[in-house]
Amino acid sequence: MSISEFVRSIMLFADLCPVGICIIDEKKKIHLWNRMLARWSGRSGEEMNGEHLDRIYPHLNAPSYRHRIEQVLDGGPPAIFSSQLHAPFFPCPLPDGRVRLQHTSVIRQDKSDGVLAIIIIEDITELGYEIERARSMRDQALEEVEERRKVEKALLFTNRKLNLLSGITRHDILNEVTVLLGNATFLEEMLPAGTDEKKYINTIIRSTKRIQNQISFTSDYEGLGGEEPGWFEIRDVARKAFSLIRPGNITLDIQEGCFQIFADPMLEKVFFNLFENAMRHGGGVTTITIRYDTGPDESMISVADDGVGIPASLRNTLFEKGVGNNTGLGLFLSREILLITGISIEEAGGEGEGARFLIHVPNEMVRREKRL
Amino acid sequence: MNLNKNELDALRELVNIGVGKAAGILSEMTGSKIDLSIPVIHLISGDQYQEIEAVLGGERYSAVRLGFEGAFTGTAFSIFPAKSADILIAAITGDEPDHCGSLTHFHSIHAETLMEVGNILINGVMGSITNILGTRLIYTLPSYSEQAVARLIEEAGSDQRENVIVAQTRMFIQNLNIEGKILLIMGGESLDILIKKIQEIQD
Repeated sequence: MSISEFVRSIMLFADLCPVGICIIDEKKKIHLWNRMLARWSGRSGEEMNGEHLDRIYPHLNAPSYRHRIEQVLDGGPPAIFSSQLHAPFFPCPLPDGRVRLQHTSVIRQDKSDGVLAIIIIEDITELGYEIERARSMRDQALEEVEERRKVEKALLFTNRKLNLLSGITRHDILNEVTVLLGNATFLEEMLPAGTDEKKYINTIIRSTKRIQNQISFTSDYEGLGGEEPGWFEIRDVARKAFSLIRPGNITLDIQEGCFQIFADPMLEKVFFNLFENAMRHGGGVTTITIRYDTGPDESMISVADDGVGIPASLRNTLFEKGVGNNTGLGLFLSREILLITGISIEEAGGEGEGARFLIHVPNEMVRREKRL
Repeated sequence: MNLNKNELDALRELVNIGVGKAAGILSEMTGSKIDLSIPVIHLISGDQYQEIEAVLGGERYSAVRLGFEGAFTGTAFSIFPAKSADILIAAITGDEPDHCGSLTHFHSIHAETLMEVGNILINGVMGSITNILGTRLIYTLPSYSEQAVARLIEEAGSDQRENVIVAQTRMFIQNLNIEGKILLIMGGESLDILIKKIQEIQD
């Protein structure tokens, strides 16, 4: 079959195809320019037939196109031109001016009087622009993440500065409080017993000691929220906190197995407070028991003792600031430490049955297997 | 079937010329210098093909397939391990891999790009073989898939998978080291013809 016979035989079919089809010979003379290409390019078949491809589209004479088209015409395998690595093979802007993205295949055909290359153009504009939109959304999200990182870094920096400032202030106040307490104690020793003056100075000493305690206590919590949360193995954290309270005859019984939670690095302080409270106020606690339980949405850590339990009158306000016999800040700050990563705590024991703290952890903040 | 040292050397030379041409085209297209290492060639033949996973691993490859027919008949594959494919795409398109190091998003457009890169590599190699041996082949259109090598070879058909010529090369682009392989799968008769033609050239 000759070139012209072949072109005639496929002309009708080519016009019906939903892709652009162009046929060129070895000298790159155009023999067929189908209806779809005519519509996209605004150049009719009559206008294009007989034209030289490189004259109409000079960019195709660039080495990245020319070598590969010639390789096909010389007998090489079909060539693919993707939309990502090339400008459109035949620039055919969309009515709104955007670029029509194209995937192009060039295939060789041998005919009795020469060689042809069939150029097939697929319009992948929609796919391409969808991907561009997705890229743009991704880039925007990445920018937002970057922005958030910057803000977090700035907050961390500010937090450190504030901690530094509060540390200096605390140190200065404690110095003054020590002077005040020393002088008040000397004065108290000088005053005769049973006088109003002695009563007033003792009130001053008690108040001053409370101020001293509270200020010292806040230094323990200055790191709250200042470090990135991380994964902590409850057994390790609880054991370490337990060792710090000098537990005497109290035994710690922790469930075996891995149970990690995602929490603020001050998590150890939470367990320290619970253990210290059991020791101070538990009324003869002998065992503290830690157990885990995993439900469909959340997991739970229970920390229970066998002491006298918490009076019903205290239960509702237990985690509020200022409640309790010591500083009144321990359980309040424990709740705040846990809340940083969405963990909550409640007391569920009964008076006379021992204290029982339940720590509720969302399952996405729990790991039951160790990871490297 | 076994190839002697001379035949393997000749085959490596043909593939080397092909990948050299491909590297030139890719460098021109991307505007980055792309070097391809001299390929290492070996032949896996007969029932050894069952053990191909032991040689090439059972991992998933991004593969461009091109069938050919003529003086010798078979299938050519250009394959990239998933990680190399991602690095290659990231280097060419600028899309960054996600936190797992994968480029699963934008899959279609990446497949299209990989198809062109694979097409250029295969065309370089097949063009070099047919030009030097003076043969002309008829080709299918290239297609893209992601599979383990054993599955790719199975698809080539039992008449072809008697011999697998594995040409292993490395592509260096923007200081990145990208692993790629060309597989030529063909029946015993076709390989005989190819070797005879190589011998004719050598004589």
